[in-house]
Amino acid sequence: MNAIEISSLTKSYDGFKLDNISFNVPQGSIMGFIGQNGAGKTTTIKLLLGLIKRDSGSIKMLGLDNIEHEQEVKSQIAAVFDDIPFHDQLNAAQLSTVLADVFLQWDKAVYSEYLDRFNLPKKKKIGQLSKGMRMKLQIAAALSHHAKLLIMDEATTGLDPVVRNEILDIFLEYLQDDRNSILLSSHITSDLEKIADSVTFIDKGKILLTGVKDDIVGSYGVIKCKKSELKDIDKKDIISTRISDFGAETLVADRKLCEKKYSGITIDGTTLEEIMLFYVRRDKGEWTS
Amino acid sequence: MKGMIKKEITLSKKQMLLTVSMFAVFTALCILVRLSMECGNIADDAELRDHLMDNLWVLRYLPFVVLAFSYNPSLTLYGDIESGFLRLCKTTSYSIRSLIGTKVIMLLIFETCVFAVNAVYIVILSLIGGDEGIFSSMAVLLKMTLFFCAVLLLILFFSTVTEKKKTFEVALTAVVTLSGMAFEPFLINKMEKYSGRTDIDVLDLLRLELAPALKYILPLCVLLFISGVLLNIFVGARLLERRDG
Repeated sequence: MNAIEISSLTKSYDGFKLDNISFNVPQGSIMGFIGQNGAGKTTTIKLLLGLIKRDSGSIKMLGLDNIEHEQEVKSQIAAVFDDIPFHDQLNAAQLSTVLADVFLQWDKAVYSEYLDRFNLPKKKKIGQLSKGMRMKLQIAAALSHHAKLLIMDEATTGLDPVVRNEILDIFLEYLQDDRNSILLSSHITSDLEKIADSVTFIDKGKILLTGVKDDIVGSYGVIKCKKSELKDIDKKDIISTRISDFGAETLVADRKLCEKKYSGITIDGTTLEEIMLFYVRRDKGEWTS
Repeated sequence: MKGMIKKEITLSKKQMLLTVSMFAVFTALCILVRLSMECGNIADDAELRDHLMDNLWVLRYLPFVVLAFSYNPSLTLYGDIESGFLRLCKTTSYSIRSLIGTKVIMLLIFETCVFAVNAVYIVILSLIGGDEGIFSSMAVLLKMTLFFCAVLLLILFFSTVTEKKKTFEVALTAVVTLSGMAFEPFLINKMEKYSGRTDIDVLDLLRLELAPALKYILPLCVLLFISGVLLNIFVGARLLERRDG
């Protein structure tokens, strides 16, 4: 079973359209949902959480339609946002009492364990905590009601590398249970390189790539050559080309094929970040950094 | 519900402390004025003393007038919206109706407590002053409490309709404006009729004029109160649950 199944999902606003997107998040895995600012990540997540109405398409979460079985779906998911959704005047201990009313399966003992693990003060007001501590508090709350699916919208943005690493380790622990899944939207591709099993890349409201992360990263390559050698590369193979004083770097989708086709030219491996950079500039064809 | 009620109290703590402090200050001032009326400066000024004695009846409602504002469900709703807590609740199976219901229940509990405090105050003042108007004062207090709750519930409903920041000021302005427009012909008429008279005389004349209608005030307040509760629970909550766009 897939934890999330999105099929032909469309949502239009003035000046933006989430255009017929489809992708799945396999159960027991973590999917990185990447794209630059304004690509449609948050809109997709809001549609998943039922915060906005979809124009067309279907969304299934944990096998159930997210609108027809809204209460049942929501009782099994946890959302984590980039800004913490708790009152500044409360402290972590008071928050537990509040969330015990909100979440059916609130586990006070688990929450307390996470507070201790994250070294979060129980009596200090949330408004007085640092950004990293507040995010850890939000994640502690999300993990304390036995949710099967975590949906995280830019949860690690703005955090220092130490805190981000700590949080990513917690996610990996969470996935030790095969029934748990995570959809993590981010534009920090290095985090996703570390922990994601699969990625979906969205740009200007359209899905450009979706699949197993290692397969995607393994299949793409960057051809490094002189500017004069560019004309020897078939335009159909080129995603886009970065021109610099030292030469040209061209992203190709099928590295193995291009290695056979263009012998003598160096084709290096690439990263999610590079794939993203080259893709968002694909309309320009050639560009300078 | 226990956690949510605790949240409401925590969010209103500052306001509650402020109004209790104000009540303590006002009470102290009233005691000082009363002492002065008996054996101070005011005792020497017969006209001022008599004027104050005629107006002492308002002190019976001092606790209500000050303490009733300690809890405002609209302000805690704004806190829920601005903090993102409402958005979080919408992503869970927690019912938004329960969220609104908690605020309504908290308002009822709180205003009942204020009513009880004021009732004790009235009894004490009556025992001290030998005033025998306890029951009529309690009746007035009950009507004031119901009416005030109805107004707060109406403002809460306006807040759910718009779900935007600063709506409290807009909602309050709307309620005051609509009330003013509704009572304007009546007020202008009375101002013309009673111009030139003292305020005590005007109040007495109004009381006599409105006496036949006074029996409808309590049922009207009860009706407004119940309407406010139902409006919020069944309509306001539904509006808050709505999906954007």
